[in-house]
Amino acid sequence: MTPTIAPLRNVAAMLGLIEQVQSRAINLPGMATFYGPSGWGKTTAVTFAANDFNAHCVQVKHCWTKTYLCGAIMRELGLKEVRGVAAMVDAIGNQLAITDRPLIIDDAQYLLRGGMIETVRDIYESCQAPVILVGEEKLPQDLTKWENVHNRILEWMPAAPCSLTDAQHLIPFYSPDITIKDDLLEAIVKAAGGSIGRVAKNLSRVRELTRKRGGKEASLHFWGDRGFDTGQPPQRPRDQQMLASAQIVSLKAGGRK
Amino acid sequence: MTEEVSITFHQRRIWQQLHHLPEFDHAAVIERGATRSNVAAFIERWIRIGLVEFVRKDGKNRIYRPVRKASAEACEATPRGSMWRTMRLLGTFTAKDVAIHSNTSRQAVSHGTATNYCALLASAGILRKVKRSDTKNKATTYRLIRNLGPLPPEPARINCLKDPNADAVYFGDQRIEL
Repeated sequence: MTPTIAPLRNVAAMLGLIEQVQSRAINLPGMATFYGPSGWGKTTAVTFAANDFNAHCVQVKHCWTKTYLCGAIMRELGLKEVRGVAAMVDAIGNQLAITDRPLIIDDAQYLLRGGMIETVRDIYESCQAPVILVGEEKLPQDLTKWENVHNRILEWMPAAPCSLTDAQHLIPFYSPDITIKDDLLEAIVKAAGGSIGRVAKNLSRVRELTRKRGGKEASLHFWGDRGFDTGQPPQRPRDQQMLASAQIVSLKAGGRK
Repeated sequence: MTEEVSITFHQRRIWQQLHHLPEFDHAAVIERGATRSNVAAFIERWIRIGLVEFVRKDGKNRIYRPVRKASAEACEATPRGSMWRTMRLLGTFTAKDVAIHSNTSRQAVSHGTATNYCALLASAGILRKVKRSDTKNKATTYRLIRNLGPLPPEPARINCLKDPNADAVYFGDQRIEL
């Protein structure tokens, strides 16, 4: 039996969100947002939830226009392309109204220009099927500019940073044969700054080292002062040089006094 | 299984030329590649899976019409559909990533299933194997290089005729050079 990532906080939140929108009362709005910083596992949650609910899923790109957005959703729904945004919105609306499958729009922050968000609202209005907008942290604030969209949002769900419990759920996937002590796991979670990808990467590194040493168990003591992947870029060599020369200058200046 | 998947390749080719017609009879199906002997079986199968319905009898001719249904609607959740969706969303992944993201309460996807499907797609040039320094001598990382669309590519066996003289096969009336 392959273990499941359904208990991860963000995955569970996303599943709950779609469930809530799908089973809403008839007079309630049917759009929802899921937002959070990049790297916190939004795409993981989207992928898993889309598979669980058999949802249609589009990832918006920065350069998209209304026409392209509609075309992309048409292709995702398996519809034959028709000319004109209005005709495409109608076709998409018809199809979603029949199937009632949720539409998940990833990277929805890119919808906020070129009137694309209005197009999404049109699609929602013509089908009333669940529409989930997934985007960056600022998405809810930015959406307040469009009152008619804002009013149609049933629930605003923030993504959660990777916690110790989440990290424990990841162990069967990334380090199934090694026992990782809680002190090491805590250090990994702290270093990752909420990113689930970095926790996974560090778990794999711990597993690799433990296996190399022929061990079965890893603790913070075992890991020692080895660094973790924190996602911070290395400092520019030139900055380091400038810092060093600045220190020399200040030393000299101090010497003259 | 998706409904369109459960008809054969040959039937689907005929179906693709038919489904936009308002109505059709046996002769129309034969015109598009069926034979007198198998046309009744084809239509019977399409009716059974809900692609076609019987309309009326016109003299001796039985008239049918396609049931309006987009292919994506006919696509129910399948393990292969989930794996394909995961690949399209993640872009770069290992077989394990595919299994983790596709193994939901609706359908189970094991690591082995994902490994096989990745290998199959890689052999068709739909995925490319990526070597990355942090995965040396570990699981292969793949990248999706041909995003074909929402329906998952699937393994199929096709009946065709081979011409050993010219290294070509005939599929229906179509000649394909090898």
